[in-house]
Amino acid sequence: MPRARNFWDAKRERMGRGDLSLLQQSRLTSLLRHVYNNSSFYRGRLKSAEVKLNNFKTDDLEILPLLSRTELFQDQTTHIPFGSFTCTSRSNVALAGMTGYIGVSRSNQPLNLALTVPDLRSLADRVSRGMVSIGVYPGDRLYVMDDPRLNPIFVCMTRAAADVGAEAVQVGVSRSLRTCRFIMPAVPPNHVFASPSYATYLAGLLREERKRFPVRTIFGWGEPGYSVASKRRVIRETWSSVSSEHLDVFDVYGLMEGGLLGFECSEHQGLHGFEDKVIYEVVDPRSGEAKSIGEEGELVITTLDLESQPLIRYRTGDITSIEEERCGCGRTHLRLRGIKGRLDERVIVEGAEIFPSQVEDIVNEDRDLAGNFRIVQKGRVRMRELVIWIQPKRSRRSAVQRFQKAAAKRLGVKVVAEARTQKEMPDFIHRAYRVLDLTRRPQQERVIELQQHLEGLRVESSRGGS
Amino acid sequence: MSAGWHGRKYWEEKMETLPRRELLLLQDRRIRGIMRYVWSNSAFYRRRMRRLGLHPSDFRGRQDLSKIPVTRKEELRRSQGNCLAKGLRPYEELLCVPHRLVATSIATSGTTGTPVVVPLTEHDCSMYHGGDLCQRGFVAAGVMPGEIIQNAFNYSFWFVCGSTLEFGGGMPYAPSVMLISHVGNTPLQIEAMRRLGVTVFSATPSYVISVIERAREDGFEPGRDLKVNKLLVAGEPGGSIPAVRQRIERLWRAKAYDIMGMVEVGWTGGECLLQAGLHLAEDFYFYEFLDPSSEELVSAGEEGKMVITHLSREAMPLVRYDTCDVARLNEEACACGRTHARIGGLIGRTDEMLKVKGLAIYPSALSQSVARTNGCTGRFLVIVRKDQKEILDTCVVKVEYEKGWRDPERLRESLVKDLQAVMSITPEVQLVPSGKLSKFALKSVTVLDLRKPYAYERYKAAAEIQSLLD
Repeated sequence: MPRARNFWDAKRERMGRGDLSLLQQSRLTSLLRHVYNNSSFYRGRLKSAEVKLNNFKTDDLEILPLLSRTELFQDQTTHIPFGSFTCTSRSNVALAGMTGYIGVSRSNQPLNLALTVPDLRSLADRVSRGMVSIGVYPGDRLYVMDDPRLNPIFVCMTRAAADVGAEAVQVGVSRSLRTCRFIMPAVPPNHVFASPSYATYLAGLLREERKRFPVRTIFGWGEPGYSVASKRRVIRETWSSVSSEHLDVFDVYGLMEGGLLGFECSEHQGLHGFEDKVIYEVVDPRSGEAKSIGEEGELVITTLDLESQPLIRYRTGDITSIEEERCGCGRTHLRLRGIKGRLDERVIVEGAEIFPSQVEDIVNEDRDLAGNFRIVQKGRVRMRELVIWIQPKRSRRSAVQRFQKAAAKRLGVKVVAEARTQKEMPDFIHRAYRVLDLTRRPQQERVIELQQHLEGLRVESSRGGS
Repeated sequence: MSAGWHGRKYWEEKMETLPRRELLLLQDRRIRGIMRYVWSNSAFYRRRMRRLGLHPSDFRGRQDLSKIPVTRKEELRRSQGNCLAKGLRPYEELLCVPHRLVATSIATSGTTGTPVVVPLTEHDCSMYHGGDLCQRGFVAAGVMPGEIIQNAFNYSFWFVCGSTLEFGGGMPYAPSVMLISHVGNTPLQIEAMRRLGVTVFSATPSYVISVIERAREDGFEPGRDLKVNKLLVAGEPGGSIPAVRQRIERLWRAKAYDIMGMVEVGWTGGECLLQAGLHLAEDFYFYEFLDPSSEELVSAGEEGKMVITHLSREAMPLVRYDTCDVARLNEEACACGRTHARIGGLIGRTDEMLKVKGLAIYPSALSQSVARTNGCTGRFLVIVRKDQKEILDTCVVKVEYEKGWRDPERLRESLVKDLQAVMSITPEVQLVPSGKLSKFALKSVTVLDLRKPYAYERYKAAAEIQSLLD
């Protein structure tokens, strides 16, 4: 019978770093053999890098080329549907999926995912570790409030929760009012897995219901929101008015194609990795050269536990830095110091790199502003100043000027803030896309329309559910 | 491991082709077992049996089951309400296992007001809600290993078919790949279907039709761009109605098979390759067909409402659960070799439930919401009809508002919000001035279902209807 504990897999999670690297070493060797034997894509790459499989060290990983999403996408367009990098035959695949969020995928290159039963187990094992770390106890109830559509990872959460002894309820994100009025009072949640945008939206709905729920934990991924200190504060404040318990907010990090990659513990000192299952590297996004410990750069991962679609030196497109010191919680695995943002959301102003998460931090600190904002671009031109739309709650002019000053000081670039109303700049419900490219405005507005449609705020169009 | 059963005919040959006599003996044995089980574990059923002076020893087989009255959804809901009022879990009275064995819960769509929460153990998930029963259905419909099934039901229903996968490994050899895709966002459905080369698509008949229409509009032809060769349809009558099936098959250039299931109950049946009725799973369930008014068993082959008893569910077994679905039993042996009885598709419903686009709507739930809203007279009318192309259902809710109400637009918006909380679809709400619906209210007509034949004549108010439709 499952019992309350501090670690899901204490032996692995507190393993000494020396043993950990030996384990990585042996798993990496067998992974390379596995891909060499089963995937023509990886075989070609290993051959051209002149890799000797017999005596491969973890430190040699750098001789392998970095792998980008575009390469996998192109591989899948020539080898339909799962690509030649997939190492298993189709009849072993138990669950298929596709990355991309309601039709708007990053750089418009969706990947087809294939997972076998052992893959699902391993992914669920990672999730179980995260759940125990944030305090999911046997007998607790956890709401999965993300879109299960096409995404096998959320599906693992039920398995993971059942292993921990908790009960996961896949609530989904559509028809939130029904959830608030009928589901939550009947089976109240102790933990809520939702994106920051959705958690904020849901708290707003719940406040109108004037009931309290025993929610202890809010956690989620998808946006850098939970690792932004002020956003975390805002969410904790809004939720504490609808929760009857002491509430904490946790960040978790993952990719649809790579599974869960990091989770916070109660120390809130960064995201713990799974070094027995994944090798983490940080590289310079431009040159691809390795960065030393503590330096900021693009996260590159190698998954050691996925048999069907392993990723070897895969560029995540996320900016972070690594810390190796042992955490107060006793876990020995390295930590990611928060995800600053995705490379494709980066805005460059006069040579300075700005991520939406930095702007979000400033917006949330200002209590006269609603959390909603947009960074506005006009195509891919070089920018001299950062244009930000904000939504003041009351007196427009003074709030705009104050924000403009604060933002310029913090970001070190010229900032032009403009006040917009909620109508001009509707809230995102499920997931926020903060950079608004005015040349692609119709596509971006479609995202909001889709979210509103799923929510039932918009009557189905004559085109049938799109 | 999977190569061996390419072209396999049955998922569990022995059970599916068990001689009828043995099957009935098995049912008798399992009925004895389940009655002992609910007697010792379920507060709800023990109370019911005590009140009638019944004991598990009174149930020796199929013929004795009718000693206990049917269980209605309303009773489940009332029990849930009582438990909640006492601060207990909603399913406390019906739960037969310790809390820690509840692996997950699912809820009915809640269109009548409150959703019924159904607890499941891992065993229930891998048997009733996916797993064995589902695999049987897939193999019966000829789905091959390695084929990708795109499951476009909304969440509560895909839990009815295919959730074992969620538990990652309850099943050592999945016959086919499952792609969970959820209803809605039609372009994404089509994109996934194309990119992954999906060969089996599963959704409600209405949604199946709207997906192919959208695909054709976007220039994708079945056969050329879409590789779908099988459709598994469920959720509303349609798959078994010859005209609808033909239409679907012609549009998709693929075969359509009817399957059925319920959130409270699980997967209850599916068609085999011969498309000659839905095979029931008589080793998992005991099916009875009752006369809707007298609740007496109908004679063999007669129409009746389907009443289902779980024979081996763990968390919340239901005894004589009234599904409100009307069907006709066919005990003749099927040419496919399966010995389990068939039904010829669902014929109708015994309750007031209205199905629009395959989703349930209960007018009584609407009337509560409308009555609660300030500014409404409380009178309303739901008009359901086919669109111009005679394919999709359209649903308009006309609501009367008080004369001189300040802000009708805002009233409308709040009504849409309230109604969508109790309906599965987002309704189109139209406000009409007070008095316009009084004639309907006099006859207590709240629904005009113009999809039914002779609807205009039946409602005997063609002129009024016409004025409302314009």
